[in-house]
Amino acid sequence: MNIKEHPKWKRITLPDNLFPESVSKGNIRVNIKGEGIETRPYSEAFSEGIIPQDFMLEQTSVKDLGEAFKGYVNSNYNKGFYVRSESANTITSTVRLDVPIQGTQVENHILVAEEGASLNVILNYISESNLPSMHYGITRLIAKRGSRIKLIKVQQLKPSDQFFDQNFSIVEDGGSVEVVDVQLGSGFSALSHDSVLAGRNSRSSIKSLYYGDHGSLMDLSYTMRHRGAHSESVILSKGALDGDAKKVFRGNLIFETGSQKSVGREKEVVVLLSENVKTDSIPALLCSEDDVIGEHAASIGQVDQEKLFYLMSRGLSATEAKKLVVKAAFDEILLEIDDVNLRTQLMDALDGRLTQ
Amino acid sequence: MSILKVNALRSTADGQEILKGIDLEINPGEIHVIMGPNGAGKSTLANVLMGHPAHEVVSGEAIFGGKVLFDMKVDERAKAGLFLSFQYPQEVPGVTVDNFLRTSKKEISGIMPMLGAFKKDVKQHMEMLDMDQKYLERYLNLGFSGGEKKKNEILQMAVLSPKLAILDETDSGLDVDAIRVVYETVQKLATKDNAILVITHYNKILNYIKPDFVHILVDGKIVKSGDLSLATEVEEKGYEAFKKSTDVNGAA
Amino acid sequence: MEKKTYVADVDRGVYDIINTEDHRFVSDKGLTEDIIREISREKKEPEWMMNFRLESLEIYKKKPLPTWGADLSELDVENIVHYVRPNTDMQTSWDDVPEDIKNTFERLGIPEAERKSLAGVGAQYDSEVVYHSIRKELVDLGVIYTDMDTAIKEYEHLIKPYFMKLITNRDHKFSALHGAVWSGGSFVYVPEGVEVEFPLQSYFRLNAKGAGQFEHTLIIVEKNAKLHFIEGCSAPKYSVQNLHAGAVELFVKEGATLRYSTIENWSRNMYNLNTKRSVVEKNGKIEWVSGSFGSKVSMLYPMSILKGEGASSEFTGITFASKGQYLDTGTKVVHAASNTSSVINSKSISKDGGHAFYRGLLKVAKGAKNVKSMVNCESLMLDNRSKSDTVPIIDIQGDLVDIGHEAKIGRISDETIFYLMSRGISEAEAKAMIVRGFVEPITKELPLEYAVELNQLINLELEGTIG
Repeated sequence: MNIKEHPKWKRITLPDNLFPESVSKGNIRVNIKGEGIETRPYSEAFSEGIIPQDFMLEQTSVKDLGEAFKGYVNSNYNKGFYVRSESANTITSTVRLDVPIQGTQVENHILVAEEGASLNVILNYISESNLPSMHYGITRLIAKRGSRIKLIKVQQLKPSDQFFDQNFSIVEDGGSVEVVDVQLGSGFSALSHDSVLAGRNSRSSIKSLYYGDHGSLMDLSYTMRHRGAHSESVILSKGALDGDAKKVFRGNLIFETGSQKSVGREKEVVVLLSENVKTDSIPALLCSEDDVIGEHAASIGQVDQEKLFYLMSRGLSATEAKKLVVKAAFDEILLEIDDVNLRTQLMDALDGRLTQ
Repeated sequence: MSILKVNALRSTADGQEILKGIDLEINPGEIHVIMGPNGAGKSTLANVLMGHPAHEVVSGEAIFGGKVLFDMKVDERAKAGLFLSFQYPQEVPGVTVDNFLRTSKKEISGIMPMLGAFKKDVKQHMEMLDMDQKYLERYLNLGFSGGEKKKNEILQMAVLSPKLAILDETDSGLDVDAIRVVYETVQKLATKDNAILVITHYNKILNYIKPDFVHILVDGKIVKSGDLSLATEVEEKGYEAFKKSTDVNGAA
Repeated sequence: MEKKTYVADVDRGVYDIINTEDHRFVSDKGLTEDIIREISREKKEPEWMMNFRLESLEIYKKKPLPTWGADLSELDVENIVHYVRPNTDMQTSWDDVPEDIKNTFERLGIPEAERKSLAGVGAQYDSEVVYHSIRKELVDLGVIYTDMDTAIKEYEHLIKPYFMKLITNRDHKFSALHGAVWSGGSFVYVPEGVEVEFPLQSYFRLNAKGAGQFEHTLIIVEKNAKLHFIEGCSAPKYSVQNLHAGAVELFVKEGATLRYSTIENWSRNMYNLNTKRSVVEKNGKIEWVSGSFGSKVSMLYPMSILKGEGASSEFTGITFASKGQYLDTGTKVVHAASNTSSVINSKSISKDGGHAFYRGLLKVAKGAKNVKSMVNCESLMLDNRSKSDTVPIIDIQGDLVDIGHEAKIGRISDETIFYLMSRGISEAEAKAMIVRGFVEPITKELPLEYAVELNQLINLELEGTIG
């Protein structure tokens, strides 16, 4: 294995034991609904040469986890899928991947929606081992002309686990990529989603939900790069921090010259539940095109006291009321998860975490 | 000589044809009402006449005060005496109503208005419209309610005294009292030398203003013109009846 | 595509009038220990100050250039003349100021403003203050307003505990440079309970070609006192680099209020690398009003440290970046105590290839409770050859906070132009009106003559850009 340089981050300290030898025991469980979907192991697709080689995204990404991560994943991956959709059916073409993390799991995924096709993918990360485990992964999304990809990533690992995840997407003319990113577990998570709105009328959205407590560290980076005209992006992040959790949010809205009539909106809401939390936000609006609308808003604070008061006046305890308000704030994101079983399970998990 | 004469006007926006051949003549001293269902092209007609950049004139012509309207820039049309009361007036932060009125008056009349007389004139109109004087110091339409915005439009009309005022859905978003105040003001501003074109989609305002002509606009065309009785006909039959008549016309 | 015509460069009128250089003393170019010793000798300074300068020089040599923000690779500090003493002593009457220097300030409207609306004026020309005066009634109340050179000698006991304690010579490369070569600037002391009714104004004019200006401004507003201080800066345009690396240290004591207004209109060959900081004690208040229009490169982030409970800060800033300008500006606020609050309102305009960058930091330190802050950044782009970036960093420890942030980037809406044009206003005037309206919340905070100047500047800048 190559000796990689240990990356240094300014706002969050990375664990020391980065880039161990990859040993993975868990098997990804695949569940496919609908037709027109092709799946095969990434390694197989790679050796057959059907992975697009001119994958420009990895070069243009603004703030990912760094070269070291990318190199490590590309040369050490032991899991992953190539998923391709030719299905025009938006409802049934769903691939659900339940990913148990055991040991050091390194994953390469690529999701491709052909012209006009539709693809729903769920990647659900869970712990099935008591030993500290790690996930390193790259997921690439290619939405061709007029296609739509919806990716739901859910991370529910145990506190001793670490989660490193990079996502690159490219959206062609009239295509759309929607990502729902739910981070509920792991003691350390660092992730980036980097979307290039390359085509005219392309759309991309990232809806992020996170909950951190007990010393969990999170570095979340979301980037929208408008290149095509009339493109539209949304970054919406909602999170709650408790205990001595620490999180860094980086949101980048970039408008390149030529992206006229594009609209990008970014919104971050952070609910603070303990005096020992630390929250950093670095929202950036970078603009080289005048005929665009770029907006960012952030709101950081405690649970709305008026709401609490109202609920308590109806007999709820302070804790119950707080829980309800936080859950209500998360609702907007959770409703994006079409898989009812998964959604219910997440709501229950969240409930349990908030009660602790 | 007529104030405005529109001939076979066709227009598009975003590649979509909206106005499909409009003929309209407005003479001094006349009040016209254009009625029609949502999406018929009423607001488009107003915007095309004023010169909105999103609309393209495909064919036809309009003569305004003896000049070719579509050759003129937006501000030139205003200077020639055309006025549009907007359905959704823009908010302009940092520019006070007072400053705006004065600048417009100066541009349209060609001379800096005499401060004292101008103030008195504005004050009088504001009283007529039941507007508080403190609006003068507020930023243009910023944080105004729907009704306040519309009153502010009519205040501008009163101050600028145009030859032809087009009122685009000025009644929408107004409560009953405000509608009365606004249209009574409009009626007072009507003289034998100017003209008013009222665009609306229902005839509530006809209680306050007495038009000489009523036109029914359906699917980009004026399908019927008449007097006040036409409005009653709309009230009884709805626009559906007129839609059918376009089909008939189309087939013929 | 819309056809546009551009003016090569804006005629900045009175700002660009160059006087013949007439100096009593000019240091050699560059930075050596000898030059520093010579400047100090020339100024007849106490020894501690000379030692401080020499220490700063050592630090300067070791510090790297900042790796973020502006590209400073073209800046050649070695070729800057660090000290230029004009051929006059400091005067307390304009009549005693040499004719050409006096005329410069007349053209800038300083003596007139002094007569009309100011409580005191300081005027710096190149490296030294040439004029300083303050109304007698303020002197009787114990207010001190003088140049820093005089202050070091006459009020050493007041200066020494504060001088370069808030901005130290170790903070960054240009604060070290400042420590080594600083010259001129104003010292203001407002005693307890004294409210200075009219503003004091210091004007900094850099006339010498290829020179640097490194003025040091130190203001102490004692308990429950009040002051409005105005700082103006300009320079004529040369083809060679000029450098401005001043330092402003503001101490706002318990219950005191200080408003610090700056209008910076340096010429476009200037590197403006200024450092400004304030520390605010219990229930004190700092208000920054900051207009950045000139310079080739600016890096300027006035900082408020809210140290005492109940302290508050307000920042109102406008940055206008035009052709050839990279203006990296913003503000930093540190909430270091409970019940502190801050408001940040920043606006920027970029046009004709200019690049405006808002960079801000809002920090809530651990243990600070009931902290409130509202940050609002708006950027207007007038064409797509320009750039506008906004990076407001929010860094919070603790939960008893209420932080709101909003940022917007966009251009003038066609609908708004249409609306104004429909009232007979030409397209050019409509755009100018909208831009003036955009900056109005800032202009209304400015002293009148600067507000007028800003509007003229906008008219000048917009002229010829609309075709």
